Amino acid sequence: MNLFHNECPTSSEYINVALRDYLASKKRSVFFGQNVISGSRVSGLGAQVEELSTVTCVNAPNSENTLFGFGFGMAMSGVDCIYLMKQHDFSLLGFDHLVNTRRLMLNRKPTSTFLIVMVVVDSGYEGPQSNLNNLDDLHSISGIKVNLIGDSLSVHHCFSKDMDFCEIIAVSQNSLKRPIQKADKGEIINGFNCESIVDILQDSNPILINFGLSTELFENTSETLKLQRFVFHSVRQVTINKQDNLNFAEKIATANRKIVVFDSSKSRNKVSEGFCLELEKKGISPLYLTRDDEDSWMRVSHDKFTVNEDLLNDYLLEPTRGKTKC
Amino acid sequence: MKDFNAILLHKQLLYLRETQYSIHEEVYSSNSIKIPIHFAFGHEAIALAVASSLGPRDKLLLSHRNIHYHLALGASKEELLAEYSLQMSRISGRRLGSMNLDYPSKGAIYTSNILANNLSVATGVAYAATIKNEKSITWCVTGDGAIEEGSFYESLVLASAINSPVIYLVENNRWSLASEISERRKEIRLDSLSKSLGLNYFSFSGNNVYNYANILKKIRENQLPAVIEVNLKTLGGYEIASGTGVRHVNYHAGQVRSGILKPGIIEESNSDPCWVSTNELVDLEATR
Repeated sequence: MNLFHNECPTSSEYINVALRDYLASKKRSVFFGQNVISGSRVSGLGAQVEELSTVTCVNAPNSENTLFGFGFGMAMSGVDCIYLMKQHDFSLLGFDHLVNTRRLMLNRKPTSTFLIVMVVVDSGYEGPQSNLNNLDDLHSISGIKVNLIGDSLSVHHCFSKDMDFCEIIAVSQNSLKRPIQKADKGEIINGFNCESIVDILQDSNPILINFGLSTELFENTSETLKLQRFVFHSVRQVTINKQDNLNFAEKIATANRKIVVFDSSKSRNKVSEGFCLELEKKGISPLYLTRDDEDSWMRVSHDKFTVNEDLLNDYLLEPTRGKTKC
Repeated sequence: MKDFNAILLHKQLLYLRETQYSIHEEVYSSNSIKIPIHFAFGHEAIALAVASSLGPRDKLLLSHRNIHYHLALGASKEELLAEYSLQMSRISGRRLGSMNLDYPSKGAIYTSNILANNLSVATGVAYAATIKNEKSITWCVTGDGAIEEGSFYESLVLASAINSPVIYLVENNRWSLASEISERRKEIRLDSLSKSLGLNYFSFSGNNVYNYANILKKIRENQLPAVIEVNLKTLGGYEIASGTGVRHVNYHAGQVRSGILKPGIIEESNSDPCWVSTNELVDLEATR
């Protein structure tokens, strides 16, 4: 049965099916958040969840701090729950629970799951809210595993694996209405989604790695390089975890490898930096493409992350490499 | 029957006081325990009344000042000292120290030292009981400092909206650290606030453990969600010179400097639930 309205479902349609499947697998659960069963819901997410007989939906008041504690309280008492929230910056109000409550609960090894699904506004037009597009900070402070939805494989990975009792799933507002990127042949290795680690290790083609949520620029750049007949491997970060990064860097760091790291996060704290340092320890000088104009982060304007294509081409063509950052 | 219950509660009340006092003496004579302990001299009546009102599946969520509830739930001096020394005991066994100490086997499933943190967690615990069709309620103990936090208001709004079977119990000693209410804010009318949000409100005062226990049992049956404000005094405060006069400062945590630490360990005033209970028994005896 085709669960979608057309052959190319949007990210939100694709996530909704996975979300409903996840909830349907639970004996009982609570799905809550602001506006989750009203109007256009949360950017279209959560559609038809209320039709599941085992799910209780709560259209919650605007009490973000309390909603985090509410979720932990239910998970503590044996009820699985999902807090669907927009926007990501609301989590700032819940840091007490994300840090303190979670750590207190870890001592008791809860058996139920509190899943936080957050929409990260990243068009740029939201002003200061879109300055916060980085999940690395949240992971660093709270220790909570953060999953990034970028393509179909990452959706399945997020919702179908064995979960910690509390996890975060982050989706990009920009990508929700766009067709989901199909990645049917990929595999998840150490929190990274790549077409095949065997293929990667069999040759020495360059590897392009995308950190963070923003995928549009990465996809556009990949397409441009393909048109220029570059052959390379494409990899996306799916979960934020420092140790995963180090393990993955260890895996792919083979001699004479060219690695391009994209990270469009607006933060001074990026796990991709540690990844690049690890590569350098292995004798590889990656090309690190990241934002360098902090002043522009706060401006209300279309969020752009422009790659210096000459630099990228030079790096990929140049037989000798040096440490590069743009 | 009333006589029997009153005598039993009185004995338990004295046990709470004596054990707290004994722990205090041991902690500060040996100086071997480094973690901060918030003693609760003067808070015993409500703790004992709550403990005696808990249903078999009820849950209790506590805050940083929790020693009176643990004693009322049955913890011994030795067990508490073990927990305060970060040793294992049957109470928690998680090396949580004092301010986060829980007692799951007796229903005290969560304790947070973060002001107002436990209110929203309790709302979730209570709602989970509803989802699971459990006939239980959740008790959340907080203080007059925590009602200044946004989370207090938010939790009341949410609990009312979803009709959570929860009691928010505010121990109002009028102090936050060394600041009295008038030194940090205007009065908060919890009766008006609660009623405006659709919660039942009850005010307790007088430190009568027997009366408290009886009223709590009625509230527990059919008047939820509810806010209960318990007016009490934390005993053990001290006087300091202030300008040309003397200023009273409330006991907050650590070693008690004066007041309660005197022979008999009971303050002869209606601020002390042990004194109130003693007089109650004298009255009972006189009416026989």
